[in-house]
Amino acid sequence: MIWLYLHFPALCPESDLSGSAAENPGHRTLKRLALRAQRQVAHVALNPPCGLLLETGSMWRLDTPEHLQQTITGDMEDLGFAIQASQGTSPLAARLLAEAGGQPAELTEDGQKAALHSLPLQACDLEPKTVSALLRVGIRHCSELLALPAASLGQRFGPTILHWRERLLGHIPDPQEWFTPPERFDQHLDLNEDIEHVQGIRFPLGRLLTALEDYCRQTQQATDELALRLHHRERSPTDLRLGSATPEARAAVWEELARLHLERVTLYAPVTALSLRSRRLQPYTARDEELMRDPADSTDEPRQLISRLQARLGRQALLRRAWQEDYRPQNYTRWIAGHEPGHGRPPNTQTQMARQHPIWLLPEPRPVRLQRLQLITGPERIQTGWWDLRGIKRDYYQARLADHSLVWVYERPDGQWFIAGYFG
Amino acid sequence: MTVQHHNWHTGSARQEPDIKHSSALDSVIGQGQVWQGRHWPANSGQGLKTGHAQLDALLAEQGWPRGALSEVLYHQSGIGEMQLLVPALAELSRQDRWIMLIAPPFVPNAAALEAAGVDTSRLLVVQPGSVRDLLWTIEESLRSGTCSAVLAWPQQLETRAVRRLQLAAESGRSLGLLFRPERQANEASPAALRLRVAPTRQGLTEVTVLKQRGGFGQAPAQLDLGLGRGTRHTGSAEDADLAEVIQGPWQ
Repeated sequence: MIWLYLHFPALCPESDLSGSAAENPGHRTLKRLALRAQRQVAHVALNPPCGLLLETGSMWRLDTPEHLQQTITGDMEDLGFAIQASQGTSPLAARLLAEAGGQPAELTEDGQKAALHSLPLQACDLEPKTVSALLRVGIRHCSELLALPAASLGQRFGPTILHWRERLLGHIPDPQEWFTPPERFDQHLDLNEDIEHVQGIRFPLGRLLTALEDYCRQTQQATDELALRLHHRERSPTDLRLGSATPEARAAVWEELARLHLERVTLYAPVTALSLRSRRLQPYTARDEELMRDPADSTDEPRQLISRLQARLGRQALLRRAWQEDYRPQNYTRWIAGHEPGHGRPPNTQTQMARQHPIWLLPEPRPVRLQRLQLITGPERIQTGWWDLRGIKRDYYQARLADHSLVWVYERPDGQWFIAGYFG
Repeated sequence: MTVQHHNWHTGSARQEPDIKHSSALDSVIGQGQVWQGRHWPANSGQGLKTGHAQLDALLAEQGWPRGALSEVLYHQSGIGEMQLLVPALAELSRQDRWIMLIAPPFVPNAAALEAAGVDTSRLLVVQPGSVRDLLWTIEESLRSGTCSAVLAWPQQLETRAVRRLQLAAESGRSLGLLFRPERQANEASPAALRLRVAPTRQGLTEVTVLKQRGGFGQAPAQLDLGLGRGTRHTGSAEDADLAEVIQGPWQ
């Protein structure tokens, strides 16, 4: 019993007119299910349109076959799919039994034999021509077919049926094409009903994010940016970009970030489908969490806060400092969105200078009349920046305004005074 | 009434009003029925040192209350309202946590902060677009547990919102500081500490404790934050010489 076959009745096409198997939605779903199955089993083969073949024999060291089948079927049912599963000594046997309704996890070899024998010919995956030929000679069940001597069977019905019988009994190898996860995550989900409210997207999106987590786990990768596309019926799709400050694979974290991001989104048309793509994938490195960490100590990691704030407020709202080799006070520190400052310190001369400077700088200096100022210390002349034609030549003073607040003012060569900052 | 009874037993230096009266009071005190101010449970020394000895002396915990919300009420900028905090921020910036500046009224001068010892790579400046986002950002930052200090400049704030923020600061063990306009001093606030900061004529900064948890209001302290005195913070002799040399006037 080294094979396990999973059959999903819901994915079966109603008729054979469904078109090419590669692009229909059922096939995409099957790939998603294959990713999920790979949580438990390394070798999974797609069997379109509605089946997965799992090689469980190599997993026995870790788990009993019965328990493995129960875990996997439970996993699939969690995803919302009805399932018929059966083990078998050959891929074909497992498949026939699963398609015929499935078998309990405790199936023995004798039980398998009995179940196979009772299968009607129509359920044996034989060509219709062969089936009708067999029916004409009075063979109705698999058991009767298996009882016939091979030589006469081959003589009468051709080599195909012999080959089929050998595969069913596991006498010849039945090579499979194993499923490998795609290069990058790109999944599409058609919605059963149009979604008109942005909060309604969260649930179907959660399914895609779970698939993303499966994908990331399987490929040992994580992503820090996702492209979410909301498809509309008669309108160009809405594209959203979900970002995280650290590479992340967990669906729960992405759901939280997506929830915050969606709060900012206005829907102009109902959504008919979602697609989710990973923009950047990087190898997943497990963070070393402290085993003995006090749970109350910190509820999450420092970078997660940045992700959450950026998700809700947008990337532009979050500023960090950057140094510049420039002595113009309006230039030497810059606050830049999405910047990653190192621990580097500013040039020493700047720090020396900055000791005299106020904590608050005005974004734009404000003109002020000299009569309102009581100059206290100064001047400190700053003359620099000649190289980019926006050079300055200013005399800076500390001054007190009438309301006792201490300001940083400067005089331009033409005699005009400006407030440049506050000593907060 | 409760203040000066400690000498009544000994009856030494004081001229006692009435010995019978005092023994009656004494027995009441003995039964523990009189609340005595000096027995206030002093959790002194648990606060985060402000770096200004005079201010520490005013505060019940000898410093900024940790894991709580404090308010600084002020009328205008440029009176040393940030200078009060800078030594504490310098201390906190050594932790592996963020220091959030949420909706500051001006551009923070990172070089000046760095000169005062603050590791500015820990600073995050956020400019939320709306009042709702502002409140959300403050609460989220306080609650996350990944911010050592959260400084915010909200324009208007309901009492209910302040209570939420206070709870968030407790759960995230973060130093929360709200800078609020002075006219809101009369509104009730659940913050653990409320300070009014105002300038004096002499260029000092006057700090009044309006309310504090675990302590009383005290006489206002006048702090010299070194405003308007050229070299501030750590002025060594060398710096002073330098300052004299580079001073003008140039014509």
